[in-house]
Amino acid sequence: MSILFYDHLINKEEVIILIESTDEPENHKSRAKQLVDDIIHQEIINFILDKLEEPKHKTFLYLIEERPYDPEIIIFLQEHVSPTIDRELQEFKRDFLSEE
Amino acid sequence: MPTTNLARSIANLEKRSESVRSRLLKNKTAKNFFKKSSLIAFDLREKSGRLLAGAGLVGTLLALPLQPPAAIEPIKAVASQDALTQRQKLLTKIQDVLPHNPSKLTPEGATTVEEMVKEHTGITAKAYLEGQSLNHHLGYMGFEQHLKRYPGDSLAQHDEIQEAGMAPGLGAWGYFARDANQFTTKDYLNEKYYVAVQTLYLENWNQDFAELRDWYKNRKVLVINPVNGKAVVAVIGDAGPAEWTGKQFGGSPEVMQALDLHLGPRKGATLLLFVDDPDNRIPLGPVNY
Repeated sequence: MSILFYDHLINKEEVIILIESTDEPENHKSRAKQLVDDIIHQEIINFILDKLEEPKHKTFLYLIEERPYDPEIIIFLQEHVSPTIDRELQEFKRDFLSEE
Repeated sequence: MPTTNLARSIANLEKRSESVRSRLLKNKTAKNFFKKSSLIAFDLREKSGRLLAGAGLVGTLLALPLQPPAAIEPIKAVASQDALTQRQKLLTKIQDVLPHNPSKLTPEGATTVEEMVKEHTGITAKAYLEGQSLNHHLGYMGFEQHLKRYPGDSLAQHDEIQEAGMAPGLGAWGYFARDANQFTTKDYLNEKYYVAVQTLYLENWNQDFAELRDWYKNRKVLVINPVNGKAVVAVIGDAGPAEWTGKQFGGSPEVMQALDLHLGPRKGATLLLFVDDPDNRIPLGPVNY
């Protein structure tokens, strides 16, 4: 199951393939994939919180907590951060992964 | 043992994860949210899975093309307002047909119940699956203790409802993992959401033990409390309870909590069906519908 509101913008396939291609125990691979997933997730939250005006932080976090899958979160961010937030998230992910 | 490349990467990733988390916790609002709930990706994915499975929307979202978000129909109304309605609808129907005492459904009766469950939860659940059936589909479920997940596991390492205690012996299938190093998230969830069923009283249990053990071990089930409609997806993780107890099923502390049967007598009537989920798409845990 892999459904968070930004999943369609963030392609982690290359990293997953890289991890899967190693000849390592399955539990190590799972741990690595989980860490990558969680780091990207928290980086995205940080990225958005940095751009979102403070009074809206609570609403944003509430939306993530209550309906983590909801495409309406992107719509909320388009209204309150930038109309091109989806593209910015894609670019942010590219920059982030190239650092690793 | 030499440190492998992946092990080194994991160590680096863990450091990075801690550093990102620290940065996130500098935000006051985020810090407050972390105090009362989990905002980590794994937990949120679990939650998403349960909400979407409950609303029967998993396939819909997985199949969504990469289109601009604005074009995506918001689904919050389905998963929130409609959620209560679905549960109420199922309750109204199911309470009319389910006996409120331990019993085995006839194949015809089972089909009626299965259709109702499918219609309102989106989950395909069967009383009879691949030629297998338990002796009871309706039965009293009692509150069980935590199970040891690997050698050396202790109660303190279980994250919830520690007051339930830990069973002195192992579950019917032994440890969930061979040792702490090989303990996976899947093992963690299998213990968290386990049920005990009376496989030991199946007519052919001793005769076909090897085959039946493999079939029943960690078999996914849907448990519904027909009084309040609360439902949880779990795995068969133990055998029991004994016939003399008057109970037919046992539930882990988390399963009983999900069904709202964890207080008072810590026992209640439940409907228990096999989940027909060959692609393993239905996550374990409470079903929100």
